[in-house]
Amino acid sequence: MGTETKYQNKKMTADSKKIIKNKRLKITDILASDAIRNRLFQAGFIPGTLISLINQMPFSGALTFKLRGTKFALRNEDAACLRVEYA
Amino acid sequence: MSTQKFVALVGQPNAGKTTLFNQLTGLNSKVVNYPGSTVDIAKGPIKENPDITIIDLPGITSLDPQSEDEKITHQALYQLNELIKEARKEPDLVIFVLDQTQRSRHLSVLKQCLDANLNLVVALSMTDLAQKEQKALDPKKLSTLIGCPVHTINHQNKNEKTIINKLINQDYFSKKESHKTHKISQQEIGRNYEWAEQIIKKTQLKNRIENKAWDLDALFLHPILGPMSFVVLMGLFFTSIFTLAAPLMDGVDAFFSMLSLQVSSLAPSNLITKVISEGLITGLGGIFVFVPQIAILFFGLGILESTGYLARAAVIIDKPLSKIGLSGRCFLPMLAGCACAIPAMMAARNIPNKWEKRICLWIIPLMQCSARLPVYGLLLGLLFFNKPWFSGIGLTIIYLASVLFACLIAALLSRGNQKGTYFQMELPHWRWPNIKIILIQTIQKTKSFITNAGPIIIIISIVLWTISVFPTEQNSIAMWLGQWLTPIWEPMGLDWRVGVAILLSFAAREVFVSVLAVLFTIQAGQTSLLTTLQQATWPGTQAILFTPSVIVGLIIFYMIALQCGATVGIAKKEMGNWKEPLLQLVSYSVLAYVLAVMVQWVA
Repeated sequence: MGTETKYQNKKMTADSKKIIKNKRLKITDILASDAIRNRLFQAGFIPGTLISLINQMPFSGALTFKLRGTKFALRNEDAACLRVEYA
Repeated sequence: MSTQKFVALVGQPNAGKTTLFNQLTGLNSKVVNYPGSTVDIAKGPIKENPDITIIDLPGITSLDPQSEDEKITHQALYQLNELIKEARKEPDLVIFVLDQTQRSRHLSVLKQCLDANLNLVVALSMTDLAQKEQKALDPKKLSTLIGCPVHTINHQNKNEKTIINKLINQDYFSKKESHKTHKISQQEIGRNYEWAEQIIKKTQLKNRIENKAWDLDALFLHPILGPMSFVVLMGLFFTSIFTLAAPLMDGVDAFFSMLSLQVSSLAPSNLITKVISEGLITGLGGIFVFVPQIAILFFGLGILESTGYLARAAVIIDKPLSKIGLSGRCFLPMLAGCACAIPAMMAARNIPNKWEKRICLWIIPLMQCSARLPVYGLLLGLLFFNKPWFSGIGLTIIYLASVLFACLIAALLSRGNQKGTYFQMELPHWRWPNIKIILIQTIQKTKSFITNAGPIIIIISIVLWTISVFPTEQNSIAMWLGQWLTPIWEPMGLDWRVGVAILLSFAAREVFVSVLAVLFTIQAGQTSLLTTLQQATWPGTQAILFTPSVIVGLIIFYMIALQCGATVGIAKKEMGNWKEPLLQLVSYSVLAYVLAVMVQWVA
């Protein structure tokens, strides 16, 4: 709390190229159709969850996130539905 | 009323179900269903107690089934008697395998099972790794919180008996009825995760800090090094499949030819001897010749899968596959299709998206399976006589062209998919492969390949043998058919003899070579098949039969035509109807024919 204030309140999508790797992010919202939301929920991407980006494949390929103790890969389009901020 | 008890293993994918299954059964198991990567249902009696059968079910991410294999698990939990006749409607006991390193996700599914009132025992797995990562849970506390027995299992533990005694206690068996699950809402999923977080807080064990488990993702998921290592690994994988299998396949081939010769020379020369030596033994040889390659393929895939690499490969390849309406999950079946379409189609079963699975099943026969290799070997040898280097380039071009063609077909088919595709995949931890278990699974899967595909191949080869020798070898039904169908072969630039070879190779492609050997050596009586074919002319003329354009046409024909009886049989099983595999058979074969004819027009 209170540390690294320069990252705070910066809302962005999880596919943003600006995201710093291996830095903790908090999901603030999921803006997607019900079907996609459902899929992401099942995988554990729920508002409030802490995640971090590990890597992304070139040319806007799949992104790998760390969340809830595991790694999970999402397509760029799905990651774009996640609104995140630095935690 | 049978005394047989059935215990089902349930859990998320990669939870450690199969490892536990192997410990409980001592690897004395049978695959109930078809082989494929992780979609088998294995069952086997527990050690020293044949009355209790363990069933290893496909992993689930929710009790609300989404994919084909989740549906199988769901069915096994609620209508086990449809899967196994002797069983009751529900398993007598359900062991929920919970990977402690992924506890919140796994606990949230456990919550669904608890809500469904399943007769549960929880097995906490991956204890070593969880202790290293400080994620191990307290089984006693968890048990009192959730109201069912909980035990920690350690996969390194060699004492299987204690595990059996712990998990499969006779007192746990009950006849309580579970209730069917409903559609699980987002709110409920959210609540389940919250519940999981609460449980973790209350049951977390305090541990000393140890070194972190090894993580290779810095290399294999690196944006640049990842795709590069992918290309290198897959290249190595395929060259090793082909180079390791080649001498073994030659050996099997030689063995069956020798056996056939021995039988026909030793036994009295009559019809039965002929049926056995030329029909049955050759047919059996036709199956067993693929055993080395399929076994090596299964072994290699087993290693790639159990280390956790296949999931990374799917992440890397997802982007290009998304362009043609597929996803990273289609990678494994397509990869397997480059060796044999049969295990490939079976592996397509764990693609959750229906359209993707369908497209995948459609393009698998276009992957260049190993049965085509002897055909290409012969045709390229004819095209580039005494220039093996050119043949190598030719083969590479064939592979690349077929992948491009498959992509084209996939892109075309995906236009029918209105819902679009998606890709989400959990990446398992990196692990050392357990060679012993992979070997045993390889043997099981290879065995079920023989028992599943075997009968079809034997029947077809006996039928084809019969029509190729009756009434006489020089004037058989097959020859009569071939000659009768001359109008079909002529536009391809072929005479009836090659036509017969094509006709007979609809059983299995590699038959093409042996039929040509029979038909052409009889008439020319020369030394090697290659020189015989090179000098072969149209009957009664001096015109060379195998001109370059004819050979190219034949290669294109073999690239596309669906000439494999076993594939059609498996496709029927996987697609769930006869219409689609037959449409596939006809459309690919007609397309192949049209393209081969077009080559002759252009030339």
